[in-house]
Amino acid sequence: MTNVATDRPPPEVDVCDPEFYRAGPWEGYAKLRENTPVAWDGRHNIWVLSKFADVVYASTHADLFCSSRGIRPYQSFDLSLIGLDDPRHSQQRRLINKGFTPRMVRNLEPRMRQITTEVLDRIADWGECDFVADIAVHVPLIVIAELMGLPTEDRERLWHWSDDMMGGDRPPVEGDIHIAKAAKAFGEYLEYVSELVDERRAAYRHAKEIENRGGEPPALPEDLITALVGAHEEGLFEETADLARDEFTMFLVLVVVAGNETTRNAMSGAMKTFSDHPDEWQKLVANPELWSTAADEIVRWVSPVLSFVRTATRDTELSGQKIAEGERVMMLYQSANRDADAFDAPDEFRVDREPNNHVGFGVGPHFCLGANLARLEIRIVFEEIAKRFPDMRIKPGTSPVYGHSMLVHGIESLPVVYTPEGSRS
Amino acid sequence: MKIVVDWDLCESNAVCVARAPEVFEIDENEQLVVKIEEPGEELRAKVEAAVQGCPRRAISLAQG
Repeated sequence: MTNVATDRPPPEVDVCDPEFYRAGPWEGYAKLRENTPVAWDGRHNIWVLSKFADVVYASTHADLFCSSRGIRPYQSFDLSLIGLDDPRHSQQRRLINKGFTPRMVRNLEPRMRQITTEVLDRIADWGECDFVADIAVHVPLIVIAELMGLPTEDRERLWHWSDDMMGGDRPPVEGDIHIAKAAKAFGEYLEYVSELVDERRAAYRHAKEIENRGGEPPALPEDLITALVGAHEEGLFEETADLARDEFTMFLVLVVVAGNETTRNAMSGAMKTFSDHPDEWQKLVANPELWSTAADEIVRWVSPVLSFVRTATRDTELSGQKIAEGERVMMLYQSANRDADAFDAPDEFRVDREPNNHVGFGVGPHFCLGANLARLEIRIVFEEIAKRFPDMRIKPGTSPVYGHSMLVHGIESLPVVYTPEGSRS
Repeated sequence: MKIVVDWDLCESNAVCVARAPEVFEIDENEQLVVKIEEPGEELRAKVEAAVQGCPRRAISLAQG
C-alpha cells in the first residue's frame, strides 16, 4: 500500500473554519502556496487549491471540474446557475446576461451617480459615519433592487436578509445561531419577493392570453423578475418542493445576494485598503484617470468572494497531484490573487496595476455576470468620495468588524471620519 | 495564427478590444467582431494578451 500521508499533503491551516477568515487569512494562504499548493483536507474531504494557475485550470476546464455536484464546502442550498453546468448554465445565464454588458451598464451610470450623490448628501455634515451601514450598503442594493423591480425603500430589510443568508454558509452544527438566522431570512425574503413575483406572473399571463387571442399584448416591465417569471412560465426551471433546491426560487436569491454582498464588501474592503495605503488613495484623488485600472486592483486585493468548489468528473491531475473522480477541489480566490507566480509584487496594492488578470470575479464559464456593474459601482462611489470627502479614513482606534460567512469576506461595520462638507467654505 | 472565438462563451466583455483594438471590435448590437481573422506576427503579443485576458476564455489561437 502506498503511503497516503505523503501522497496527499495535508494543509497547515483549516480553510473550512470560518474563523480562519475572520482572523486574517493572509499568512495562512502564503503557507499553503509555499508548502502545500494542492493540499488534501481529509477532515472535510476536499482538495485545497491556493495557487493562481490551479484555480484558473480548474475554473476553465469545466469538463474535468464540474459545478453541478456542489459549489460550497458545506452545501445546504443550491445556488442557481453558479451550481449548474452547461448547457443548462448557459441557458439560464442568457435569461439575464444581456442586461449586464458593458454598454448596458454604462447606460446606468447617470442613475448610479445620482444614487451615490443622495447617499453621500445624507452623511455630508456628520463628520463620521459607518462606511458599511451608511454608504456601501446602499448603492449596490438600490441598483440591484431597481434592476429586479423591487421597491428600494425596503433595502434595509434586503440587506439583513442577504447578510443572514450568507452568514449561514458555515459548518452545519446543530443549534448554530447563524444557520438558524439564515433559514429565517430565507423564508422571510421569499415571502417578501413572492408578492412581486405573483404580480409579474399575472401580468405575463394576461399578456400571453391577449397574444394567443391574436391581440396586441401590453408591454411588460423590463426588469429581471419579469424575465425570470417568463422563463418559469415556459417551464425552463426544474421545480422541487425543497425551496433551497428549487431553480426559480434560488435564482431570485442569487440575484439579490450576488448583486449586493460582493460589491458592498469590495467597497468596504477598499475603504480599509485606502486607509492602510494613503499614498495610493492620494494618487486616485489627484489622477481620476487611474480608475481605468483601480477598480480591478481593488477586486484583486480584497477578493470579497472567498471560494467556490468543483468536483472532478474523472481521474485527473492538478500540478502533478492525482485527483480521483468524485473528489472535490476548493478554489481560494484571495490566495490565487496574491500568488507571486502570477502577479508582480503581489503584496503591493497598486491602483495602476496593469496587466491584472486576477480571479476576483472568477474566470471561465462562471465568470461573474455582474463584473461590469461592480466595477462601475466601485468607481463611482469612490470618485464621488474623492471629490467630496478626500480625507475620509478609518476612525482612529477602531477596526473593521468581520462577518460570519465562509463565502464572502464580509465587513459588518467600519467607522470612518472625514471633514464635514458644511465646515468648508 | 488564426483567431477562433467560442460564440457560446463570448459575452462581449470587451477586454480583447482594449488589448488588441486592431483586431477586435464591439459593434452597435454589442456583438464582438473579429476584424482580422488571421492577424500578422506583428500583432501576436497583443492578440495573446487578449486571449489571456478574456474572462470567459472564449478566444483561442489556431495555426494558420
